[in-house]
Amino acid sequence: MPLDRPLHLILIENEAMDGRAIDGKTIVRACAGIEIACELTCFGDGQEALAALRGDFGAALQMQPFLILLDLNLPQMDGIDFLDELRADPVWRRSIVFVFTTSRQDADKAAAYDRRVAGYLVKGEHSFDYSALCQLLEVYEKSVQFPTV
Amino acid sequence: MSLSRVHLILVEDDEVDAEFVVRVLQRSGIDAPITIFRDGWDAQQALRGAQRERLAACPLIFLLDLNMPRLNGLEFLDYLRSDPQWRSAVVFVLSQSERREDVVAAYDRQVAGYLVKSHMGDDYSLLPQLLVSYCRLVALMPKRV
Repeated sequence: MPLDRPLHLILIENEAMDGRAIDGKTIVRACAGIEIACELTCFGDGQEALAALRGDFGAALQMQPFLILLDLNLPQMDGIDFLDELRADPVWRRSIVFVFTTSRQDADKAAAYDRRVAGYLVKGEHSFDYSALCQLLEVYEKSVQFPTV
Repeated sequence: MSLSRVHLILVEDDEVDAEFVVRVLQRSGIDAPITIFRDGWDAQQALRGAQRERLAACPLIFLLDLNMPRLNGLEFLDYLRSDPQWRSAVVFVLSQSERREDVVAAYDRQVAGYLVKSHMGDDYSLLPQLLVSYCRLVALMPKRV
């Protein structure tokens, strides 16, 4: 169902960790090209993201459809620890989370799906298919009833 | 991951709806095998019992109705999330209900997306679009050994 509010993308990743960060601005630009309105907020690690969700940022976000894009390799609190915290939280456990990472390891995939991510996306060494991501976001935006937390 | 390597599990008590979904998916060129269970109870019996091994052979994506007799969609999700073999399965809810309580209850059980039947477009075309773009980008769960 087309949303009356922009889709809020929450990107949790740290470029310094592996230097192959997804460029949030590129996602937003590509989405604008296919007429999805989205808003973007970036966090550098899991702790920072959790603190924001549990604070004023989270209070405002509760009024908006949102998706989390989560890298696994993060300083302080990595992606899997973040997922453990998120899934134990009475409110934010409802979040839709896509992992994106350079890791193709089955162990990482299993750890992420055990914490019930919506999907596990692998970014290549040098590239990431932004148009496929935007297509997925577009069809999500059109068809999915987002969690109201 | 290509859709041909995925096994779609449709849990739907309305026969007409189930046939319609299958037709829409097949007409849009989706060649993944589709297994239909007529309610949560039948699906649970199969996943627990005789078909457990067969169904573990390739990644599953569930399309789950909520309002069903015997074992409804939320009860089925509770079972799924409690079974180590299936707890990490990807589930999309496909329901008539737009009630906020149902949406919240489904996301409490961490579904990948909640789809409302009447919002899937006139010819239901958003459903195959979603599955195709999802499977194009997503690396699904490896087989458990």
